[in-house]
Amino acid sequence: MTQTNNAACPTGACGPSRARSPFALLSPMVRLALGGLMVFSGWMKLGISDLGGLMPQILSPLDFAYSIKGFKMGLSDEVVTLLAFVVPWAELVAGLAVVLGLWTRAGAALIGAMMIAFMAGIASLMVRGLDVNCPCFGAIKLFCSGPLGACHLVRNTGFLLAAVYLMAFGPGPLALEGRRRTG
Amino acid sequence: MSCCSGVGIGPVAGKAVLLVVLAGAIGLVDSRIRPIASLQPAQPKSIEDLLAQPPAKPAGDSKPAPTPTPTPAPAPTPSQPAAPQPAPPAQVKPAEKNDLLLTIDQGRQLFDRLQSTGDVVFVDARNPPEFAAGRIATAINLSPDRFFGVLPPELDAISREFIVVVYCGGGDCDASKLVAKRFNEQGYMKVYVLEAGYPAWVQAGLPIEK
Repeated sequence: MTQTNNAACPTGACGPSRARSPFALLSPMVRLALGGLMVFSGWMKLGISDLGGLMPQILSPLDFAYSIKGFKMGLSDEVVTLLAFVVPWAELVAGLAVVLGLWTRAGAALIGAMMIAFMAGIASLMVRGLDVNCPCFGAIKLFCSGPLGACHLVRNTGFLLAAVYLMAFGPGPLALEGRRRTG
Repeated sequence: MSCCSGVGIGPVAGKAVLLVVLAGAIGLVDSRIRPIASLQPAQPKSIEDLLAQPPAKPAGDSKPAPTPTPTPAPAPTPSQPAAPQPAPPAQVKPAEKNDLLLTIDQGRQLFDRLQSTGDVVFVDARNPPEFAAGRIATAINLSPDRFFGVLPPELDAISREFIVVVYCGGGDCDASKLVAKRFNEQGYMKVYVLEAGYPAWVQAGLPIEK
């Protein structure tokens, strides 16, 4: 049964599996919200463009690198620099995958893994009593203000739950992978 | 309601790994194309070199290109018109580690640059009552005591690619140098101190606000 479904509908978004989500339109909404926020978060840390002044609060990888350094994890400057570029790009790539509904579960899995890593880092900061201001969404304080702490843990838990939902129920309708027959 | 059937963990994990590899490759290439400054504290560039360079604003497509040469007059503001100012020769003195002292004319050049490129921030290191009584136009207030404990949230809005000009009351005041050091410790490499401070700025007839 499972093998048959895999062959006919590898994405879980076509045929009978459309009924997998309890609410048909919930998956696209979660995709748009979670993926959109991840794309926004990555873009605001990369400092490539403020889109003609639309996002003046954009910051640079150098700013993010100093936030990573603030975690005092003993990483070399080279590793910190690389992370300052790779993490925002990972957010961007995973967010795009989720928004477009292409490799949705994989994108959600990557977002979930990043959220778990971020939450572990924040918990570590709280235990050690360190204050780090995170440019999570550039200079915009989305949902939480002040140094990384309990509010950010709750916020990231919400993102993690959204990612788990997408991993469980798939992209739902309005997804690119629902239009494909091979995966 | 059902979920998860028909989707193996293996393919999903494989695709997730591919996404990680893709992001890693793009990030690696990006870090080579747009290398960031060293994460170790370093002596900032001389202000002349900086003024001769294009702005380092990360979001560089939103503003017009800067004028590489000093502009002859300060930009007027609604609060106070600019007065004619004799242009003394640009001069940068060697200063304490990690900060450079600016003359009023160099401060004016950076203020002009702020108007055109937006990659300059003026920081008033005096106490809030002094700040409220009058300040350099557009300046934000960050006195040294704001850096005790939790970093001031205002820093989140200031990119480390920006030029930071710190000033206080001139004379013997050292609040600007203390604040400049705090900025430098946080990775800001383009931090300068307006040595003559706010009184000289006012005396020169440059833009202020209250």
